[in-house]
Amino acid sequence: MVKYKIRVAGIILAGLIVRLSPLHAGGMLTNTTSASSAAMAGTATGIGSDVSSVFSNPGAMTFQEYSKISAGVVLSNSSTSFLSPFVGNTDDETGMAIAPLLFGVYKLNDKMAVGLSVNTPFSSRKTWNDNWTGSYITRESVNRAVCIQPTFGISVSEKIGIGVGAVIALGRDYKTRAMPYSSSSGPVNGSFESKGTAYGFNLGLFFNSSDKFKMGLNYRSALNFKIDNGEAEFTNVPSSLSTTYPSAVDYSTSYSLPSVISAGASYMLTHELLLAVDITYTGWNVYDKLEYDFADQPDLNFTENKDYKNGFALRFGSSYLISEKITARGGVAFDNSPVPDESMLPDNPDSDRFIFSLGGNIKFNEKTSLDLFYQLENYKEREVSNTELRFSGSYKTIVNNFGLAINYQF
Amino acid sequence: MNKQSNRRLLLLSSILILSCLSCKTSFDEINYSDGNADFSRVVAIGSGYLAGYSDQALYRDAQNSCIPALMSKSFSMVGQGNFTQPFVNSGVGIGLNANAKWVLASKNASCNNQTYFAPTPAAANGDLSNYNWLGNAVSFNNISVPGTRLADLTDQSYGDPSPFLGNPLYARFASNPGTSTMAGDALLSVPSFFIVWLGMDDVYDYAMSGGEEGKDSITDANEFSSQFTSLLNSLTAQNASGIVANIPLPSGFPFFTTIGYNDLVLTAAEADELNVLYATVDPSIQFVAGNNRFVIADSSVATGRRQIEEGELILLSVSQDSLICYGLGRTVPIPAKFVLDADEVFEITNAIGAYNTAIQNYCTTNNIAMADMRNFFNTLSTGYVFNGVNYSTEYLSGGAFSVDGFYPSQRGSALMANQFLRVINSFYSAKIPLVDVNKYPGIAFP
Repeated sequence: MVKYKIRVAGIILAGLIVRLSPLHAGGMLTNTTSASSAAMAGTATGIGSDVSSVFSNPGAMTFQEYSKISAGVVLSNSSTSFLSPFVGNTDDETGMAIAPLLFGVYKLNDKMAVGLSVNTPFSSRKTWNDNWTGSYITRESVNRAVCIQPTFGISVSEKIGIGVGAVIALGRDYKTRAMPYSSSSGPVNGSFESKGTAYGFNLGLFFNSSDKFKMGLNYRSALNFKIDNGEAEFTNVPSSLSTTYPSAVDYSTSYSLPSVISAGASYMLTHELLLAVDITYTGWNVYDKLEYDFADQPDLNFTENKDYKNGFALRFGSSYLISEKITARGGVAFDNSPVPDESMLPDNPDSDRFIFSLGGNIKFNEKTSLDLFYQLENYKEREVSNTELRFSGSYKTIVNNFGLAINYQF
Repeated sequence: MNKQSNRRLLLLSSILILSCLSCKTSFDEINYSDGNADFSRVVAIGSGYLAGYSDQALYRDAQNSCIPALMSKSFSMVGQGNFTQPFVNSGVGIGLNANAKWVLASKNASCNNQTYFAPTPAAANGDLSNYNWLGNAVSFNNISVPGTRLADLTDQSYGDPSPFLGNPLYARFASNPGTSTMAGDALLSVPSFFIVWLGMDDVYDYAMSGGEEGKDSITDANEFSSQFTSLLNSLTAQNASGIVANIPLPSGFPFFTTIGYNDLVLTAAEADELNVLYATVDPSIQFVAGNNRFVIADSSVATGRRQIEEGELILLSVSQDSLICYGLGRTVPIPAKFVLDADEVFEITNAIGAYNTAIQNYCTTNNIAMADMRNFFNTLSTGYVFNGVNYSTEYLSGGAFSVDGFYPSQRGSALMANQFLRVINSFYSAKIPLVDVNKYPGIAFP
């Protein structure tokens, strides 16, 4: 069924639309929380050697040899095609997005460290053309949470470290779609945007069993967003409907992003070769519905039923020390979709997916190095029928992620 | 690892990265098929519903997306279905009363600041040049004429262009005006597939003009049956297959359901005032605070008026301004031509039942597909969701009917075309794509 059209990469790159907006990842939980772990298909919880442990397992912070700082970006290009029983194939127009990565660990002494992480663990994003067959359901949709996390780590014994971070999550929920009434020049356009802050925590336990074998456990709490100042805007409103669709009106909404629990282990098979495994369980069932309440305009109230189910991911990663200066990384993961058939919509066309990653680290000198990665997320083709909105068809999604980070240790 | 294998690894990685940069997700085209039907020469025979009559007129945009034209677009996906229509000029079009098409307007009540939506003609007159004969150079695929009853199909005078003799909307494209008939013209192209929706005007002329007080009677069910059979026989005799639609009930049209029998909403003070007024002249008429039954004219009762009963219907053609400002339905009875009383509703539903039995029987006996539009309009009246848009038989907000409340909007035509196509797909084992309803224009609010 799926056609892979081979084109010259350069042409595609030239056509990409780069926007400073978050990454796509189905199920909204991203697989690119740091450049080093993304290269190993997301394994990190039981490795502990990278500065991004401040996020992936703060229990490992004190086991790092130096204070470190790392800054980078992730570029993500998401393509979805939808096969409609009415119009055949439609390709999305989501294109490329950029997200920042920032990690720092400062060792106070051998037993204590403080750190900071800034990344985007939750992000979904999809853009379709304005007149596509699902335009009354979604045209553009963004839901993301950028997490800022000051963190404290302590070694409780030579082998066991714990760390705790306070999570400040900056959430944004944005969507546009066609509204059911029209003027003589087409449907009323609606846009809905809410920004809010949620607080949570990140708790890590790291077991530095030996030089060769390490294990870790990480828990990130759910994030509950309660937003009172969402703003809806309507354009192309016929004058006779200006009270139904005011040009701008406030709404309130609330939603929760899930808790994530990860367990991981790593083993140095040889001096050069590290193998790692992670299993992640995500409490997606808190993402059940989004209610939009317009206190001043109750006729506009609506509810989006999400009904996500808890999900899991299984990840395998490895790194190989090619030379003193070059480390190669690779990995493969399976990420299970939390989105049920009945409620799946084109604003987040999720599916079970396989993730393949490649990357590495290049040391420039004693203090400075560069992480690079490429990650392919290949979503299983999925045919669904949304019962509430009577929207049915097949989806196929491929996401390409690229990233780099510059690391400096002191 | 030696240098060579490093280089090989690097090459392999680059190939993987570049190859997946060019991964496209697009799906292949769907393979459609015509099954065991032949759509090479399609003919549509009907009245306003198949002609693209909408907003109380025949106009170009609505003709372009009339039910059989949309179906033919889908037939073209299997390489067939060329569909030639007798198009009117673009612009305001022409209605059965030589009127222009209607557009929606927001009106102010003449007595207070209440506003309401009401259709209004887009121009003082329709485009009369549309009456000019189109010539008989081509045989049209859409032989559907607004206002056509079954008996008109075989009536030579129906295409007579002389004033008041025929239907000018047929005369304009009749192959030989005054001589040819619609039934004859339908056979000119030797159709391989027919789309028939007839009988609407045989009962709805009567219903829309308020029953006996109006101008048109209901066609007798036996006459209907024999005329229907002879028309269909003439088509099947040429080995055509096809699809026939049956007749929906009045409850499926905003024209009959928008003004509810008890939509007269009164305050306690207004109710008291009316009760005082009626106490002496007609004490059987009483009001309460809240919803009340309208007062209608009825010549069969001594006072000439009564309150309407549940199940009786008030037509959308009644003046909203008079309801708001001139006591219509309270102190002034609603004239009988705007009301279908219980007897009239019974006659109408009875006739529709008989027509539908005749249609069903013919289709079953002759192995012809039938689109159950009666059932679809029932479904529509409880709400029908298409790709996130909720369609219904609500006036204006329901989206499926044009501003006249009886004929479909372009999206309504698309919904109905899909009902035909679904039946064709299952009956003729075909795989024809359905119509993407929401891409057609919705009701344009002012």
